[in-house]
Parts: sequence; structure tokens; C-alpha cells
Amino acid sequence: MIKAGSIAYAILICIVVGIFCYSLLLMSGYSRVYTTMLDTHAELLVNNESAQEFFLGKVDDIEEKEITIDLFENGITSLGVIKPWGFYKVLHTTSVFKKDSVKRTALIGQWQKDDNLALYLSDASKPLFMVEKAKIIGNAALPKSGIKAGYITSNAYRDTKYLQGSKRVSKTSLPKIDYLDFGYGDVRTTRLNEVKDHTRLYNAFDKQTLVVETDTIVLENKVLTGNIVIKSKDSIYIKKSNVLENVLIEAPKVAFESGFTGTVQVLAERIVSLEENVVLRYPSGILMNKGNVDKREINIAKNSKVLGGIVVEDENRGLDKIVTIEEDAEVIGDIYCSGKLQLKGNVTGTVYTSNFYLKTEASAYDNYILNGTIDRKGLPIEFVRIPLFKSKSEYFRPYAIIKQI
Amino acid sequence: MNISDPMQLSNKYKVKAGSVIESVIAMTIIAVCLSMALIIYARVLDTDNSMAHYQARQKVKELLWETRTEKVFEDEDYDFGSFLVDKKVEELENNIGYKVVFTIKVNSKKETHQYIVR
Repeated sequence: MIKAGSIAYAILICIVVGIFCYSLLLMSGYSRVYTTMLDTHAELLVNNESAQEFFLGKVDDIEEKEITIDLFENGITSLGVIKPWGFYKVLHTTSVFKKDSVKRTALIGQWQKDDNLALYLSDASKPLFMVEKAKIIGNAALPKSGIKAGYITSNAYRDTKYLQGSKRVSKTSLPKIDYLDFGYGDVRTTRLNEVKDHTRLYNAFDKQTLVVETDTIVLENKVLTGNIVIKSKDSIYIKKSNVLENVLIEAPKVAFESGFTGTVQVLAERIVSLEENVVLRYPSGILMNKGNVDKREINIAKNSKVLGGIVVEDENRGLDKIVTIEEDAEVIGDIYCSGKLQLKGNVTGTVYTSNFYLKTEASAYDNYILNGTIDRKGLPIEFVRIPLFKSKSEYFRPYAIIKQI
Repeated sequence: MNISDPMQLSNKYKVKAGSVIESVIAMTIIAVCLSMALIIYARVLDTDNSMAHYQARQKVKELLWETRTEKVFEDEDYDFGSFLVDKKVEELENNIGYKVVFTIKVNSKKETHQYIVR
């Protein structure tokens, strides 16, 4: 006999509906918690971005002392840390909310006054001779004897105007560079043979700088990114099989194999040589200002490019300092050479040099430019140049982000 | 035993009918249960932000982009029909940048988004 039981069925339905409702509430609750978490994280990211902008305006203060701030008084605290990285600086921003944290790191530099100066040639009582297609676009500080069209055997001046800008008289010496730090903070070291070939080695900028020491001359098949310095006591030959991003190279002699492309800043003593078709992407740079040597030399071969800047500085006037930029080679940024500059290629930026020189098969010429161009106007206003002169008049513009790293 | 007659079959299983009251109570329980379920369902759906809210958030990002690129550091109010956006700009000390606050108003809900812009 089956008993009739409407209430029992009703209760059963209630239980089923109840389970359904409970599941719905549970899912809704979890969904809300998850959404809140996402919103909080998104707010943390936005706050971190804002904190970076804020710290960009406080770089000088942060250099003296780290700053921690609750930017919008919403419980999210942000910490800004500045660290030198070659010619430039690294701004590390960390934002924390409860147990969640977000970090971002940027390579930063200062925008400089738009002075439109293309060339500063110190006055050694010799005029500057322009040969064939040599051209200066922008203002120039020149010796009292000025600028003239030059003639070398069969090569005469062919263009219509060799200086497209105003000129003024230069001093007998170059403007003095402020102290170039080219530092990298605290370090830990490793040997190159401990770094695996074809395996990416990344060291974040909030960690200690990793110095990779090497005794071998040839560097090949390495993939190094970030807060890394490659250091040698003698020479380094960088093969094109290497992938180097944002790293520093420190060695007396550095050479790049033809076809190499990467973002590196080089601190050398004696020689830096770029074979043909080498591209040092922005922000790269070459600095020579240390060590007791008898000669300093930089060669940039045909079709090679340096985006950033080149500085060769030594107060020893008797020392040979030569920068050579071959035909079709290009430097985008500034060149500061307290010696001789042989310019056959192009510079988009400003050149500071004590002297130009030109060596041909037949002879050598002082203060001659053959086919070389200096174009200051071609440099975008947003381009963050290497810091050379820190007087307020030169550096009145604020810090800017070169790239997020 | 073969039972082919329906009457014989019904005599074998005696089904006791429930009372009318029992049925009414059962129906009431089910009705209450379902209406509660419906209310819960509606409430759950209602807790989510409206489409206008998400549109407003997206619009704030757009306005922030405009502020950054066009350097428009002025207070402004925007009416986009289904939502309102108020923009307040405050200059930071030492001229290091601007604090830009966007307040979204969707129905009775308010939400604030703050940024530092240089």
C-alpha cells in the first residue's frame, strides 16, 4: 500500500529549491569576493602607476632618502627607490595593500633644455672645414676663425649651405662635464661559465646587481637581461649570437661582432669597436673616462648605430682620444669627445669635441669634416639624452621615463 | 497469477487519498519556497553592477588618456546620459604634477578613481 503524502513531496521540493538557492548564494558570495579582489588589485596597479609618476617628480629627494607614501589615503602605501644604472637611473616603485603588492621599474632620465646646439667645437685657433656633403643643422659654437668650405684633392664642398643655424664663438676648452656616476649599487658576483648558453638569465632591478665576471675574451650564446654587469679585466668580444638587454659591460677593451643588436651601456678604458651593422638600441651608450691608459679610441664602422650617447673624457691633454664614425654609421644622441672626432657618418644630436680630424690614404687633416652630418633638429624633443651638465640652466626640465623594464 | 481485470488490480493496491487540507498546506509550502527562491535569485542578479557602471569606468580611462595626452588640467563635468562623470584637478606641491579625481555617478551609486598625472 502506498500512502498519500503531498507534504512529503512539498518538503522534498523545498529541499531541492533550498539547495539551489544556497548554491546560488554561495556562488554569488564567492563571485563578489573575487570581484573585490580583482578591483583591489586593479586599484593597486593604478595606484602604483600614479606613485611612479609622483616619484618622478621627487627623484632628487628619493636619492637622498627612500620615500614611503599613502598617495590617496586609501591604505595603499607606495615606496620609491632610485638606483644608478650606467648613464641613467632606475626608479623602482612598490605599492602594498595588505598582503598584495605590485612593483614596477623604469629607466629614467632628465629632459634637457632645448638649446638647439648641434656642435660645440673648442677654439684651437683653427677654422672648421666642411668637405663634400658635410652639413650642420642647428646652432654651432665655433672657433673665432669660423667655418669654411674645404677642399681635399678631388673633393670640394658641394652642398649649398654647410651650417643651417646660428653660430657663436666657443671657448678654448669644452664645457666641463659633471661627475658621471655610471654606477650600479650593491652587487653579487658569479662566473660566466656558470651561466648556461641559450638560457635566459634575468636579474630584476629590485635585487642586487649581478656581476658576471669573465676571463674568456669571446662572449657567445648568452641571453642576459636586466640588472646584470658583464665584467672583464682585459678584453671582451661580443658575438652576435648573444642577446643582451639593458645590461652594462665593463672592460678595458670591448668589441662587437658584425650583426650584433642589443641594448648595452659600455664602460671601457682603451678601445670600443663596433664592426659593420652593429646596432646598440636606445638607451645604449659608451663611456670612457676611467683608467690610466695611453690611448682611448672608439670606432663605429659602416652601417652601425648607437642610440644613446658617446662620452670620451680625460683631462690629460697629451692623451690620444679618438672617436671615428665611418660612412653610413649613425649616432643618435650626444657625443662628447675631449679629443679628436673623425666624422664621416651622421650624428642626430649634439657634438662636443675639442677637434675634428680626417685621415685619408694620402694625408691627415685637422678640423675637417668629410661628408659627415650633425643634425640637432632631427632629435625629437621627447628624446632623453645622456646627462652631461647638471647646472640648473641645462636641466630645468623634469625626469621622464625612458622605458619600463 | 494473471490479473487482467483493472478492478481486481485496484483492489490489490489500496491507495489512501490525502486530505484537502494536506494538499493546501503542501501547495502553500511550495509557493513560499519558490517565492523565496525567486527573491534570492533577483537579489543575486541585482548585486552585480549595471552595464552603465562598466561603461562609466571605461569612459574614465578614456578621459584620463585625454587628460594625459592633451594636458587638460581643468575641472570638468560630463553627462553621458546613463551616467555622470565629475573631474576634479588639484595641482601637487612644487609643481610635480596633478592629482586628477574622477567621480562616477550611476543611479545612486558613486565611485571614485584617483590618478597622478604629469
